[in-house]
Amino acid sequence: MQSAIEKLRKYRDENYRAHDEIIELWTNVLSNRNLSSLGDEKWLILEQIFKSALHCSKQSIARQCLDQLEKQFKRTSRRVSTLNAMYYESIEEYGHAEEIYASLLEDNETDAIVRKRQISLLKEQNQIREAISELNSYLELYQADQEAWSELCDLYLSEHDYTKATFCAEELLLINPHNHLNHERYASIRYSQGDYDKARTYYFSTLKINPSNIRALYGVILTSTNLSIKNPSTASKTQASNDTNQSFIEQIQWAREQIIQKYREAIPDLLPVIETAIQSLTL
Amino acid sequence: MAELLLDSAIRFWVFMPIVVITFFVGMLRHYISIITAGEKPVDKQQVADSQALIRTRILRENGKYIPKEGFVMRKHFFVNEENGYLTTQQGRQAPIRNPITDPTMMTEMLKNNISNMVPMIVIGGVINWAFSGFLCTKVPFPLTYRFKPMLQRGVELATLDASWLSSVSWYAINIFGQRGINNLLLGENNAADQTKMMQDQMNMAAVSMPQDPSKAFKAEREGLLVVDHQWAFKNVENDVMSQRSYFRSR
Repeated sequence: MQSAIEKLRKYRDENYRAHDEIIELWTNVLSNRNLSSLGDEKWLILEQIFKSALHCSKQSIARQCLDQLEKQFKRTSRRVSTLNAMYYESIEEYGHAEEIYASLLEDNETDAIVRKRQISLLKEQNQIREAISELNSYLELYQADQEAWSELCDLYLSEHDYTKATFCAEELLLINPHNHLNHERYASIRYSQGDYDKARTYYFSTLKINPSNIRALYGVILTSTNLSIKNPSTASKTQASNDTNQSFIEQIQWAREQIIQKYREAIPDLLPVIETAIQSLTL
Repeated sequence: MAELLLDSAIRFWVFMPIVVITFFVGMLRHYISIITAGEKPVDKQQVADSQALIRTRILRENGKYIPKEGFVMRKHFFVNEENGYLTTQQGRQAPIRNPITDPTMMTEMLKNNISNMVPMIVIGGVINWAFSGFLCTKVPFPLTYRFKPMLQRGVELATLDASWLSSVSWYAINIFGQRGINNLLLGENNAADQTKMMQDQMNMAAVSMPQDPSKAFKAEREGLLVVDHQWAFKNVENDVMSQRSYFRSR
């Protein structure tokens, strides 16, 4: 049991997402034992199990944990109220959950977590427009909240509002400029908008940070292809555009080789599939 | 100066008890402050201000990673003359936190003072009354004559070396010296209470806001006005392609 406790502690500290494993640990090891030997850590573990159970839709386990927490901390604890409302969210009693969140917000207007849960309530009920407007007003206060910008980007993408999604992706780039996934997301949004030039630049910046990002390599092929189509090199065009076309072709070649090499190193069985795929992508 | 030999009873009954007393009183004070500390209500305006300042700072630092239009758009939003965020907020007068008129600040200050100063003074007085009239210890380095009246309260000998200390000064040395030990031990005691939620809330509050946000905004505005946009990715394709041999070997 000690190793299970340590593992749970590690997951808690490092914010690791391994909900299945946590539930397994709980059902096999911990639920039969009496946890009072751990003292205060018991409540932290119960909270952790509760959240993982909600993630895996195991409402019965969640109910057990929640009952124990409520017995200890009564209804007045803010944390327990929030967990209670999350439970109602998962069993789809949205009205109940909304009541609890509203009363919690009355107590403390600046509670970020409760506001974010309200927004996700709206999202669950598929009210995307309201969720977007709520999230915008949240972001007017909390301008540097990376999670919120990421969520807003996703919401705009689901509405196909690419310009606003670009803005959000730029915010993410500002907050975390060295995360290759941010660059790649930005590049893909630009590509969907049709701005092949910027998309290509940002696919390259992704590769600069992480040369193993396969999506970025594909992105390079696609954008260079599209750009060279728009830029047909005929004899009447200037030398410069011929040069750029030449460099495009070079880059496409290089990206192709990189992809094939990476797959060869990782999963050689997929190579024929990859090669046909690449053939169909290029001119 | 002549070498003085102190009674070894002093070592057991004065020297060590003072250390022990200081240590335990410090612990007691720590726990009492935890129990009596009320939850500080976070001011919404303060949160908004601190978050805005964070955003302007990252815009200044990382602006070169987003395209020029994005940077110019945000810069305009912040520093525009008529309706830029920083210019309008600058004009807002920060509420003057006069401690005398503001009752909550007053009680806060009183509580802090009481919990810090009073135990120190009380115990200092007790030690002065209980352990006066003899020398407690000696500091290993020579001190000047000026320290004598301060450090040798109960013992008025004109010819005594200034390095010899009375019990009260030993108590004072302990108070200041044991802050390090307290940090070490009391930091360990907080092991069970760190969760992401609490840290999130604390990050949101960003309590280290200066009392006067308009100064901070002014500084940020000037900083932003100066910054020029140097796009980091002007030539990134050539950079990456020229590193091709490096890539191949990975």
